[in-house]
Amino acid sequence: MTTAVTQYGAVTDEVIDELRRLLGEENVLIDLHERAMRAYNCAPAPLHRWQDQTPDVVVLPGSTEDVVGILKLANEKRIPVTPRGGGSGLADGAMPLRRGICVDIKRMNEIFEIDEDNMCATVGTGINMLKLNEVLEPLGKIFPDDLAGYANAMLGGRIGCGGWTLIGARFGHTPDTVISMECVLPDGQVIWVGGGGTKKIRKSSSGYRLKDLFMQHQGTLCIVTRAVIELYPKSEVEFAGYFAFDNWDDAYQALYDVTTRGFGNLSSAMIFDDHKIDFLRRDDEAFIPLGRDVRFVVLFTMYGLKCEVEPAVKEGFRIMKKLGGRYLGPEQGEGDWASRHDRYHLSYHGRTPDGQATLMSWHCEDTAAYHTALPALREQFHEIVGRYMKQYPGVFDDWGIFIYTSNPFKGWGDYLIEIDVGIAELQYNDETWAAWIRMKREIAQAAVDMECSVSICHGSCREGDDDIAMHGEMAHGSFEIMKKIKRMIDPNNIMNPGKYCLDEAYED
Amino acid sequence: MTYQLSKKDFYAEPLSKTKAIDEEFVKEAYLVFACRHKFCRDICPNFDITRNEAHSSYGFHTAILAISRGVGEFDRLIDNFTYCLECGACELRCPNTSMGGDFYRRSTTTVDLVRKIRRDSLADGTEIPNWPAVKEYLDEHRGFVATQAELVTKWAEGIKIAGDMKTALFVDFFTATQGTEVPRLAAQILAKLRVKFGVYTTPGVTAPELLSESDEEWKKYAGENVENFRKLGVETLVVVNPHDYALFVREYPKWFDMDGIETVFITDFLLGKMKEKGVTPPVAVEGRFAYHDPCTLNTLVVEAESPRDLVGLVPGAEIVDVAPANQWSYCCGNGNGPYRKLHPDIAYRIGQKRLRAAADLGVDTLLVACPHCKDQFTDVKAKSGLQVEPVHVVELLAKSMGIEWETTSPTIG
Repeated sequence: MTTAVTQYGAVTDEVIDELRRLLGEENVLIDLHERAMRAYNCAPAPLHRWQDQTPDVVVLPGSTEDVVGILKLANEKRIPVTPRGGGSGLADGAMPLRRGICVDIKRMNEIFEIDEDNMCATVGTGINMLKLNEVLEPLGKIFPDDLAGYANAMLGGRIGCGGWTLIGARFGHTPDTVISMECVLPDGQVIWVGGGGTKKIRKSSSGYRLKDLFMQHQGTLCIVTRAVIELYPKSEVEFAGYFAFDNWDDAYQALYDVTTRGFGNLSSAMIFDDHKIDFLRRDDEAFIPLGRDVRFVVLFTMYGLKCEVEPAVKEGFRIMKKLGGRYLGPEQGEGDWASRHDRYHLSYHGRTPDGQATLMSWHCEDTAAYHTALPALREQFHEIVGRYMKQYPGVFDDWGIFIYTSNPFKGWGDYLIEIDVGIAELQYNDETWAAWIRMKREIAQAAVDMECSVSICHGSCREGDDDIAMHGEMAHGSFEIMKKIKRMIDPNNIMNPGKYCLDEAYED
Repeated sequence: MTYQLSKKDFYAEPLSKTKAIDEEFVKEAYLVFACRHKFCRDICPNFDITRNEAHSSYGFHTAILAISRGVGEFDRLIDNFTYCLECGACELRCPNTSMGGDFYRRSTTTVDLVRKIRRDSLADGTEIPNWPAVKEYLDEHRGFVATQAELVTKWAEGIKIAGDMKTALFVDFFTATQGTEVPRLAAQILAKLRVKFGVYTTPGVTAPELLSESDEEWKKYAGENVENFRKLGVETLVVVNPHDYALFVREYPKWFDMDGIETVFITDFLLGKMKEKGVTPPVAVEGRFAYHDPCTLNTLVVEAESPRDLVGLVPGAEIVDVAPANQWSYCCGNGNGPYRKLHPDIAYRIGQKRLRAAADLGVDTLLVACPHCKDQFTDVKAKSGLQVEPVHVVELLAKSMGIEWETTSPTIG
């Protein structure tokens, strides 16, 4: 974690009064339990340091104008501001490291327009994907941002972290499915950024492509208040096929073959590695039982029209079977794929190797890797976590690896390789927290050493990730430019300070 | 049906400003905090209006965990714990319930937690805004207890009831005084079907509101009920108010031996008897009807079929249905406790949203299976001007059975 170099203003009674005048008393929350619950997001948390990141005040703006007022006040008084969407991020983007004002955007959940002719919608960024799709589905449309936190993540957070979706190989990821955005800058200026300068045009060659600058900024540059998003026709068919393999080499080859075959409707492909299968076997309630001969599982999904998907699925079967893959049947496909949003978020999903329930939380390290890096990274990640398990028995556990397609609109090239780490979070103290951070750093460093990326979806702004990402992965000039941009747009460093090592932009 | 949500003994130990929180309770709070995906939040009908995540199962449990870590104030906790409808949607949506469940005794029990915090806060001398309205309601019911036999059968005047207590109709004070058309019409249908039944006449104060004030008092009345059921030889208890039904299914088995006493909700019982007797309702009631799942049935005890099936028996009646799972986030706004009295404005907005969703389906009638839903929707309709009439499923069935369709609830008492 970097230290603050900026002198911040305090959230005084005068500031609270002004916020109440701007937003109404009911939308300015000062009680400790209101603030404390917004200290954390979805990631393992240093519970023993709870007070350190508890914001001084929480505000619930209902409009862009409200956000303008908040930021103007914060900028004038030099008070740190941390935007909060669904609070479901795994990189602590919404953790207020310098306390200050937490801007909780959930009231900005309006659907302003559904433009079926141009297949887009204009929405507030406090909207959740599930709720949005409940409105779109009767129209035969979807917003295909399908993530683990589908039922609770909010669009603003998805933009903030540059989200990844399970079915991005067919539909693209959040940076692709957001067409343009309304951003409120720290000085209160409101701008729209897109591919060019308009709201609904996807591809433009006018000027800089500023949409990308304000994507995955983790709240360090602005607060995004509205967005124009892509709509897709709802798929007629959603097929998910699971195939068992008895060795890594064939599973790895099957992943390659199915992703490079050229399917137009391949939505995702995955590997569950042997550690993951062993882990899932520990809990007979939460996973459809698999035979002992199953060591790896490869999954592919196809979404689209029936006339497209049916022949493509047949070809997918042929590829899998050629490499020895055994189809695990429709129950596995429908049951497991349908429950993918729920299963991995259960603390009592934690199981000791002999199957006893244990109170462990879970975290996944979301490295982005190209195809040929996968085998080595898989081995290194298991080795790193295994070492910490030995050193801290009962505190850390290796819950296996998933590998997912991650290239937008195509299955090949780069992948998300995530190692899931069980953690006894309630037992954290300074020593075990420090060990956790060291483990994260080693995982991140292993990725960077292989010219891979620290993060594909959560963001690399957590303690243990940020310095490896900024000073390693982004070391070839990118971080220098980031710092210049940050200082230019946010001269007082009020926007989510402490993230991405960007305090360094103000050191001189 | 036997259904028991995890009973957590640590809820019995009162929290207060001065006591540390029991370690098992801390773990319980952590289980929801550690999920952190907050599926419980966006399904919450209250959150849907307030958009404040402190008003959610995640918020409640996190507040407890924060206090255990020294980052919270017990005496301010209640501010958020009034914002719970006790509808149970969050419990059902919680992965701890769906994946861990009662087998591991890991179902999330937010409704129990909320009631506990309200009780403890009141006991600790904390004032809850608008609580006097809740107290007044409970006191009214306490007052009824002295005259209960007379009051809980007044709705049945003029109807011949066999008095066979093997099958007993359980009518609570709310229904006996403000939702009288339901037991009255149900009794008439059962009489037509030649079903022998009696009316249980000493229900005591059964309102779930009482669990937010005094669980001991609630248990006293419930214990007396169980004792009386035994004395009277009750084998089948037919419950007309789903708030009571949820208590019989979820709460009674935690505290009392209910073996040999089958609890059946009125629509299940009517449906069973119609089928058993091979009776088809003779009168067509032409129309398109939406159906509102009461949270007490749909989420708290996960029973959603019989009201729909009863409507399916009515010639000419068509349900424009919204699937039960898609109604988890719906509520009429009354809630399953004191919510409507604590937050009348938000309760109205929740009800208005639900009634508008029915209007958007192009219907002019919203069928319900709960007298509280009907009461709330009647109020919302009057205030909002939305032209959707709430009608109890039993009323529709009665009309189709050729029984005079009484849509009003004459107030008794």
